[in-house]
Amino acid sequence: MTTPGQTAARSRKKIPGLAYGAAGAIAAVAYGVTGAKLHFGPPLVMMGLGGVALAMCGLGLWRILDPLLRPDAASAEGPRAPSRLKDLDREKQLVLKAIREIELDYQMRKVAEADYKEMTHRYRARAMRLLREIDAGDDYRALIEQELKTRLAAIEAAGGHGCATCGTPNDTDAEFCKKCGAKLEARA
Amino acid sequence: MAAFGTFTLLIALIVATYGGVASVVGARRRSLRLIESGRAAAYALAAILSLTSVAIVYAFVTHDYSIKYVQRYSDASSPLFYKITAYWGGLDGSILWWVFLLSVFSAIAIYSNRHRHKEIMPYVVATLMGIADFFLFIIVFHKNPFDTFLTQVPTTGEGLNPILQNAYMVTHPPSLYTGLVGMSIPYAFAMGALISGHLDDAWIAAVRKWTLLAWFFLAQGLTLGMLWAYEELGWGGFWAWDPVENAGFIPWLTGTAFLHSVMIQERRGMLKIWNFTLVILTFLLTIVATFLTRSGVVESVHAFGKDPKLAMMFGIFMATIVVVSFGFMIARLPELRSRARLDSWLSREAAFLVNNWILLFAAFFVLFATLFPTLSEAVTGQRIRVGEPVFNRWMVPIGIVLLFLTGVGPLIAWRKATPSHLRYQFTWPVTAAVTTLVTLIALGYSLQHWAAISCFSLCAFVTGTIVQEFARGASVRKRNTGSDVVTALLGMVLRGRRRYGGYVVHMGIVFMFLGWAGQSYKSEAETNMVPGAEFSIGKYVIKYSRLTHEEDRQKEMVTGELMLFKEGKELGRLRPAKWFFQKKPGEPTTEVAIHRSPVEDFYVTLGNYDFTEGTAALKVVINPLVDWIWFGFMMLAIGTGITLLPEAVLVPLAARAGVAPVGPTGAAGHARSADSGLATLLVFVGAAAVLLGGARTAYAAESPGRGHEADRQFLMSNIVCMCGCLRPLNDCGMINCGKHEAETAKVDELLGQGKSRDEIVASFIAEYGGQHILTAPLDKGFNRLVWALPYGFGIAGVGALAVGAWRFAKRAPVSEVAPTVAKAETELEDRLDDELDRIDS
Repeated sequence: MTTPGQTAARSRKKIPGLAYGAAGAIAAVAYGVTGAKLHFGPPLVMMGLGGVALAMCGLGLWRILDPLLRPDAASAEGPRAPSRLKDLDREKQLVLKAIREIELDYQMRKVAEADYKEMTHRYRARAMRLLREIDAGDDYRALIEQELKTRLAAIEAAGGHGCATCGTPNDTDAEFCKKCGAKLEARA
Repeated sequence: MAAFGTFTLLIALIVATYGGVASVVGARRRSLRLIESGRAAAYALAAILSLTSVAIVYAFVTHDYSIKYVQRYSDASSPLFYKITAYWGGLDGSILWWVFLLSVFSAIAIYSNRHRHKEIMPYVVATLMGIADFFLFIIVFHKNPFDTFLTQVPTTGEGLNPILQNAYMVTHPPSLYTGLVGMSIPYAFAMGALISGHLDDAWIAAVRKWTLLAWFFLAQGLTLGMLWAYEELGWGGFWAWDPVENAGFIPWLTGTAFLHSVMIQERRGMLKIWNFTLVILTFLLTIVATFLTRSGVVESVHAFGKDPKLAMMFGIFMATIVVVSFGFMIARLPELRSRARLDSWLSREAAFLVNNWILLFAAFFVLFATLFPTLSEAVTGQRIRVGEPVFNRWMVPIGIVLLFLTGVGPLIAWRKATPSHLRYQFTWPVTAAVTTLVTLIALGYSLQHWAAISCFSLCAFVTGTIVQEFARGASVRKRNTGSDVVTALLGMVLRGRRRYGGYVVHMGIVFMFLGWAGQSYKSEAETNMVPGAEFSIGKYVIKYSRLTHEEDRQKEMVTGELMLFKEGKELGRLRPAKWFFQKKPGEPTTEVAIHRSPVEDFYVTLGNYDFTEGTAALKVVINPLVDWIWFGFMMLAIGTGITLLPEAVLVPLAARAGVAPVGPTGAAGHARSADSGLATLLVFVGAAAVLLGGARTAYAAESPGRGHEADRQFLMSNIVCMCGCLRPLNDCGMINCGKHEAETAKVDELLGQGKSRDEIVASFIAEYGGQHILTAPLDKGFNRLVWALPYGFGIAGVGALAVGAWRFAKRAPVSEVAPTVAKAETELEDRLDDELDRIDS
């Protein structure tokens, strides 16, 4: 999360960006008219543009040095929750659109029904995962716990895969018990 | 100004180096402040190079002739516009322009992704800064546009080359550069992904629009180049496989391949390795293009001069790119294995793969043929030319097969097509193609122009495909939303921008092909006219009235005044001219007069003239359908625009089009048919056979039967005019060049003596001391390679496809296990359905 101080610092940086450019242009044109005795014309315009570019160079060089002068922690931006959520939302939109597109293909009789079902299923699973992530927001712990719960429920629903020796529940694809190392019975 | 400019360049070099180093160190040490500082260096670089650019343009507008570059490429009398554009008119400035564009694009790309892709961004910055470093290094240590005269500063400038003083030539290089430089951004993101090991599709999402934009600008650059050649060079054509144009065309081909194969990765999670390869290749080829144009390695009408030192620098840079990029890719190979696999060779993925294979073949063939003269010179010591006969032999059939695939791709299903789908999808397009073919033959179009006729039929086929896609899509949407046709169509295009924008681009390509096919029916004539005389060609009559002479500050203009009639109807006045620029009187420019129409262009250039008698030599060309190429490009631009339309623009538009749809209904279920690997393999081998067979036929068409007139035609189209235009004898636009008349006379004389074709060719080679007198090398010795190697590529490609098809056909289908959904998820399912309904409203 950004602190109010950081936000203020950022907005302090933003406004001068344009102001610097304008100031550079004014200064350069003023020099062109008074110092170099230029009249309005291409050279004066270029002088003004040069002023803008020069001001931007100054700003750019300052921004190279600025992070180096701060202690490392202060420049850390932290997890930018809003932009992460925005990304997730964008990805969700893409997946939803992909589902819609496959539906269109199916309706235009380009995709066989089985393929249509399989692809839609895959995309829907991805969309639901994204929905869950968006719901959890920044609460990673809740997200992980929920994911664990879902997976454990899935294992249980599938009849579990308990070790015959010590009774520890194991992953469905495990060949050896993760606690005692005994070979697990192959599942049908 | 010179010292100031050089100073900014030095600072730029330091900042770019710092930016690269800081980003890499920051990423390795996880130091956010170093990463931030490196990113700021990229912004600063753009600012500094803007300042440098302002400095050089300032030097141009203030006529600072103490700077060599300014003195050489501008003069006080040229218009302001050309003074500014002289910035990229020469070698040194064009490299500065390259790196300036790169810095601006880098800044934009880095800024727009500043909150995203955190892991890969530092490496993206480092890659971009590395590329900028190379070009800045060249500028600072070898080609500084701010170099000054040490003694005796000239008081006047030499002026920009007159043939470059044309609106197309002013816009052609910048758009080509924009395209070439733009391809650096996808490359940088690909490298960022490879170096950081974040190999998911994130980098693809970040670069798709950049690639499309760069691809579009390349297309625009190439089209403007064609227009320039058509209107300024005066030989009546627009594309002659000039090495410099080829250099821009090659990355365009691989870029096209990438834009297609990237869809497979997004949709199916396949071809990751291939997409990385294509991005790296495309970038490498943009550097090759820059290198070809600037090193003097190839001979062209508009390459910059020879420069071995520069060639060596580029050589080292290209080798570094290959080693570093492919090195990282090989290191990441185990992680790049694809999630899914090809289900069938009768699927859209497979069609895209074939399209990729052909595009890549085309790219390598053009590169190989462009570089072959250099290779041959290195091996045999003889400079030869590889001209249109060699290129057309391969590129004509390749173009036709690509056009065919343009129509096929959208019709085939993802994953696997079934026979009933194919019947349903192909009926109308095939009917359109067959109808066109039959009509053309019935109208008496000769099958001798097989390429043009198949091109017309395929244009009908692709148009059929696209119209059917729009019509069926709109009808489905109409059914789903209950809206009227126009609303449904609009809503459909806005919702599926990439798909329908892509179709519009395909339509543009169809129009371009129409224009190219029209070239088979081109006719031309030369005439010497006295005032008041008439000359007729086809349905046209021109009436020549007089010669005029005008002068302005910059140049003298000699103009022929003509009146054009078609079937007795007056069409208007034509004024072909020659302009003699005061700074370069020895290089007059040809100002073509064109009467345009959708059916054909009437094109006239002025050659020799005589003011005392008022006579003028004119070259007249009738170019059928040529304007469709420019129109096709406009369609391509519109299609690209639709694809790139940002979401923000769409929200209000989409709100007006359509209501929430209902779920998919009505489509019939189709059973999966058995995978017939062998049958599909046969289809692709057949396509390859068409390609190879087509190439043979094309060559046969190049060398028509024996006989005096046929021999003369063969010799005229195979011997180069030595005036410097690099065109065949029968196509030299420089009517007063003096060379082609002498050479033609010699051909006629030798033919009159009863000499054979080969004897005459041998006598020309003996007289001019080498095969550079021929448009294409003799099929003998080392040079046989240029004719034979493409066959090698083709056969190897077919072999690879065959092996792939066989392997895929053998594999048992693996069912992808779908994750089980717990009961608690049903609520989420409902929400998803709601969201899906909302997305379309």
